[in-house]
Amino acid sequence: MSNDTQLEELVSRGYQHGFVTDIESDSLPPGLDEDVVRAISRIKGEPSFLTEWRLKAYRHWLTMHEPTWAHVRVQPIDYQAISYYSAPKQKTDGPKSLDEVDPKLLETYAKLGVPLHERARLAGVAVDAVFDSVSVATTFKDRLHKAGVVFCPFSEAIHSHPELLERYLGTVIPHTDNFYACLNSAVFSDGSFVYIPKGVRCPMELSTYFRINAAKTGQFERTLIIADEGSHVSYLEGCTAPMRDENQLHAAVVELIAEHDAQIKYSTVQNWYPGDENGVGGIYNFVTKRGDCRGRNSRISWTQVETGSAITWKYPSCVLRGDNSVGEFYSVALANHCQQADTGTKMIHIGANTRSTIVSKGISAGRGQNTYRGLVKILPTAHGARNFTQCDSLLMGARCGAHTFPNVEVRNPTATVEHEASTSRISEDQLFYCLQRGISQEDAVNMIVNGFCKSVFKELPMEFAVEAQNLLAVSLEGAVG
Amino acid sequence: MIVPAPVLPTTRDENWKHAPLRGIERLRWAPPTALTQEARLAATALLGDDPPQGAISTRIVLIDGLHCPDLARGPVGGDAAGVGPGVAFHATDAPAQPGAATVSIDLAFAGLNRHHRQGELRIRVPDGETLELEVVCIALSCGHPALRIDLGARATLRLFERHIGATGSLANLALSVQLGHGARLEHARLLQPADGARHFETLEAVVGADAQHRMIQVTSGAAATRSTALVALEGAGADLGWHTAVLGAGTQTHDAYVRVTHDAPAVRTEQGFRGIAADRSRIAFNGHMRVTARAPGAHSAQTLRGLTAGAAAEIDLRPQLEIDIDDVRASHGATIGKLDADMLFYLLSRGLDPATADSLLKWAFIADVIARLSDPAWRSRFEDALAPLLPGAHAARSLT
Repeated sequence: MSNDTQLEELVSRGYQHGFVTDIESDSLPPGLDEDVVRAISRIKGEPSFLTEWRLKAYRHWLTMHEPTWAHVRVQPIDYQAISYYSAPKQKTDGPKSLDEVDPKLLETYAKLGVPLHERARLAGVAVDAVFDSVSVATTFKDRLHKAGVVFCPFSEAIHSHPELLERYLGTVIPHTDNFYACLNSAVFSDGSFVYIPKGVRCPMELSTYFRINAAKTGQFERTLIIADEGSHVSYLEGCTAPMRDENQLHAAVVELIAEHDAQIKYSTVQNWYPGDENGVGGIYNFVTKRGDCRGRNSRISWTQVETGSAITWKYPSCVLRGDNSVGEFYSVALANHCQQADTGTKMIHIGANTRSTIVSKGISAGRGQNTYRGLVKILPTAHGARNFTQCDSLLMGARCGAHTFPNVEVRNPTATVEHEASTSRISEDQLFYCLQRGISQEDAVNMIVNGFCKSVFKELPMEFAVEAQNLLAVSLEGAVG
Repeated sequence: MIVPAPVLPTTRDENWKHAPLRGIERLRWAPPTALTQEARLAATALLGDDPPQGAISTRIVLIDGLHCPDLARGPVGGDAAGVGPGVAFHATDAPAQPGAATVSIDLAFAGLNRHHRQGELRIRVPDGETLELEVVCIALSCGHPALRIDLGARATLRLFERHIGATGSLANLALSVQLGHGARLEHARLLQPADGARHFETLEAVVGADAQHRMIQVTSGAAATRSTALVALEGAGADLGWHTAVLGAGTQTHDAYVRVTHDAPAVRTEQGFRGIAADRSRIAFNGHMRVTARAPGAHSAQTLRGLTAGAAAEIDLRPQLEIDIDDVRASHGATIGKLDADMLFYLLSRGLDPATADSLLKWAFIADVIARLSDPAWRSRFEDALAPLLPGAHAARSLT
């Protein structure tokens, strides 16, 4: 197949992960009260400290209100109409290996291109697949175990490593943090848990694939990654959902902890169903992600490509507590049709000689609204702190919007902070050059957009970079001309 | 008087989070009802050795928001201000209810002004005419000065505005500007209230087609200043230049919010900010650029720079862009840092003492704003006002 044909196929296809898997599932009835919170905890067989923690979060959530400061229009969410737990029906004992996993589930992940079977070995990526509320399969466990790495579903870690959970859970994002994180703390059902012991470099990329399948449910997963002293891990995250006319809520929490000399690289390609071109349906993606560089010389790097979701509300952040610690945020956010994205980062400099870099690329097309919202805060203890922020927006169409709301707060005279931003449409000169070289307008736009995002794509692991470029091309379909 | 609480913003209001708002509801907001001889004498002392050579020949003085003809200067006419038929002080007949006309929390202090003001200085320049004017607002206890500027088609106004205040005084200014087709406003503002004074101000401007608004503002002194400016570029080809410098010292707080709405084709904005925070002072600047779908071909450029010069000083910058159309060129840059060590070393190596070298570099930092004043006499007055704050920098004056 020629490159042109491939590209044409790519551009002409719509949201390709919108199918529904017909699979039996166990669900709690819609509604939320203390009994539902207790029921989730009971299903998971959680220790009492965790049940109490959930209940404390739920009671606090009742006192909170949805945030209204973001530059998005959200249809009212009926929290009592959501089912807070849905899991594929399992045999009594649960699957011991991939061979025991429901073939329909494996088929679903095959359709999504997630390597759960033999392709996983070729890809060299360990995968944890989360389907609705539970983890259905985790690969390469033995090999990781030999290296001392713990990579398992959150519900398994509750039993295998309760001491780590009790020590670290909620220490980066407390249940009081914000409305959606508080809701997640009360009703989270599963997610991934990663612990990298001292001095270990994780032998492979770790990956979690999140899938919402059941209707009228929300997904509330929780991820906790702990990199102990001198360790290193690279973690990838992907997500999809079926095409439905209803809006579904995804309110996740991700906590990262990097001790002395540890490094965590967290990459996301977010492709939740964005709704149709009239803004009907799509996922409300309200996620809280934060990394805590607790140790000296630690480093946390967030890279995200946000092409999906009807509404994205997400600010992966770094608390740079340890001296010489480094925080990075690289982001591409695309809002096409009626999508709305309010995303950005916070870099809180507390330790001496801490450094942070923010590179954000926003693309708005159709009637999409894209907002960068950022905070760089240098506290009095952060001697010699440095930040560089670059924040560019590209507009494609007269009805889209690009908004930039950075906040810079400096309370130390030895700090240096630089922020630059630009907003423009695709250069007519660039477009004309491509057209007169025989390149079609749509291909030319894709090339220019990819060039615009290059500084972020180069931070992604290679497989994800290719996927991200393809996703952008698909997501921009119909935005030109 | 106790001000009704709902009228006043709090630090939880997004655009007010840096302003010093503690206890403002307990301040004495009611102005004096009439000017006393004592007040005239105190105001004369604050004015100092005015006028400098080459200064504007026409001056109007407001004391605590009340017109003081005794301190006015210039041609004697038949109107209240003694300047010309277009300039007059109109006493207020009935005060507005507090907050009655407030449509957003950013206009809360404008609402208070409307309630308390005792008059309004109206400056109207007819089509095609030119006027040069100095307005001095003196705060002795509490005042709510109000200015309304209305320029006709192709009219020009060169306005030099000074604000001075006694220790402990409170000023709450409301300024509204309307520029007609092709009008030009050159607006120089020098805000230097005494230590311990509080200065609040709300500026609303509407710029018509092909009109130009040039604003140069320098702020120093006072315990706290809060400036809210809402500018609408409503005519095609409207052009705004907005350059501000702030020098903070001691425990002062200076907070500014400028929102520019680009609402017509081919409008332009250039905004610059320079802030130097010394000692334990705090400076905040929020520059909010909005470009609506009605503004194809809009161009907006923002450059915000802060210099932290005190161990416990703080600078907060918020350059914001809100854009709803693709045919636009918008950029912003914001930097915060300390004095450049290489530059400092160079000056020291040329034999300058550390204090002078420090002052020279700070002078250079804000010179970018002052140098935009086209009139050398106005520039000189700004430099005179700033010289005591940057001792030893006089050598650099001739360079700006």
